[in-house]
Amino acid sequence: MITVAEAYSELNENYDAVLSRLMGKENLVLKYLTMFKNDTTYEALTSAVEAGSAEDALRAAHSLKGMCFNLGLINLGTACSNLVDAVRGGEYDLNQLYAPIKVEYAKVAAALDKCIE
Amino acid sequence: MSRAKPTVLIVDDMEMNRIMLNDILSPDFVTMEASGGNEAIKIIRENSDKISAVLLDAMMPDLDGFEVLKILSRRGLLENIPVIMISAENSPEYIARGYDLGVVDYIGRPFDPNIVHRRLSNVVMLYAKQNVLTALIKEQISEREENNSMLIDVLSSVVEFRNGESGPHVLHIRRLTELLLKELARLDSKYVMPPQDVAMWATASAMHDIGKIAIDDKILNKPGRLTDEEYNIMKKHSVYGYEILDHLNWHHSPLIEAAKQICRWHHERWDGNGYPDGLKGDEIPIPAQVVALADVYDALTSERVYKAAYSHEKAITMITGGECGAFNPDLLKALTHIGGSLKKKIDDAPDEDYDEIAEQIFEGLRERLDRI
Repeated sequence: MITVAEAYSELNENYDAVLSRLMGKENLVLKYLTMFKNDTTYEALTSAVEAGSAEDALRAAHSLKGMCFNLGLINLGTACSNLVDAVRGGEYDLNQLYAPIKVEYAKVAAALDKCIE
Repeated sequence: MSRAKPTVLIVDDMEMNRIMLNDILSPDFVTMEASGGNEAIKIIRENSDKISAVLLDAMMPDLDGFEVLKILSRRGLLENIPVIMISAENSPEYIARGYDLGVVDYIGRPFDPNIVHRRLSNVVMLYAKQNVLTALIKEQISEREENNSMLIDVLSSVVEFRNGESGPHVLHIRRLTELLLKELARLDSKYVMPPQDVAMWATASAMHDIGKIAIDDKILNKPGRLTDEEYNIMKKHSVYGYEILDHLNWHHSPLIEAAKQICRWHHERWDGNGYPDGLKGDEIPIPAQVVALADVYDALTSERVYKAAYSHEKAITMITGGECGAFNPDLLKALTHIGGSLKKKIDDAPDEDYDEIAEQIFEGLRERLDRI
């Protein structure tokens, strides 16, 4: 097992920023990360992309983006944000936008697996 | 202001977001949660007295935050309940749309919990103060209006007592005026007026006979029939009432202006055979016409020393038969339309109190006058 701080540094994310936003309470960060780990929004996004439903993909990516930013998972959040903006803009390739999200999500999931039971 | 924790409704389709906000706010707020727009509307409608503020997510599957705002605004709920929008969407268009629809604040994600807490506390405090002040002002205004009406009723009743008529007459006229004005408006939209105007004319109607204070006791309380000369003096009470009010120099007061019209013209008749100015038809202001009819109706249906009380039906027959002078056909329609329930409606008015107060004042005045 590694610490949450170590997991963040593996992901190139700023743990201190998250901790200070959550009033320095490590247990809160851990609580939200656990929820994030068990959340099914990413799966919903994947299904939406597979089904070619831009509207559902947009909604899921938007929700994921909000959670990521609150948890300081900026790389994954930015990938989601790009999908949201592109779909809103009207010119997009869903699969192409989804690819970086898949990569970033895999990294986050792997890191969380190492720090959360 | 109450020390109790204010209640905040958290609206977000993502459970994690609700839990985060709940963690931040629960030490100082009672929190309620809704996982969608429709649920939020339902909770707000059922708890509008309790909820001090709403934290609203913009993007939700069933009904998004903007639609929620539109519905709240249509129902007038946004006036008293501040809504803060929270969204990961930080584009200026989105934020502007939120403000346009009436949010008081917009917080982007990721948010700083301390700032959410601060902004929410500020908004809640501001609205709480505003709501308390609004309630205070409403209370004071209604209390003042009530006092005004009571004073007017009491003083008008004093005049009626001197006249040997019953105190309730003033209250009957007030009630009849109100009922007739409302019925007229119901029958024809051209007679529609704002509720506060109906209330004002009703209050003014209580003063219709104040001019009688200037009429000599001997004529006013003469047991037998008045001579032509005495009747002409008696008729002057309409102009006297008008002049008493005119000399107050309260020309800025709509109530006094209304009372002036009623005093002067409540004995005019539709065919021009009334007094003091012989006005005809539409020349007579509608409220003055209403009070004229109310005065006649109440005199007929109340007991007097010289006559028993007539029934509603008998009174209607006499009035429509022209025995009491001509009236506006629309007004007669309104009177007959209210029907037999009218007498009960008038009598239901709680008049004993005023009656007693007026009697006491009048007796006090007479004692003092006797000593002079």
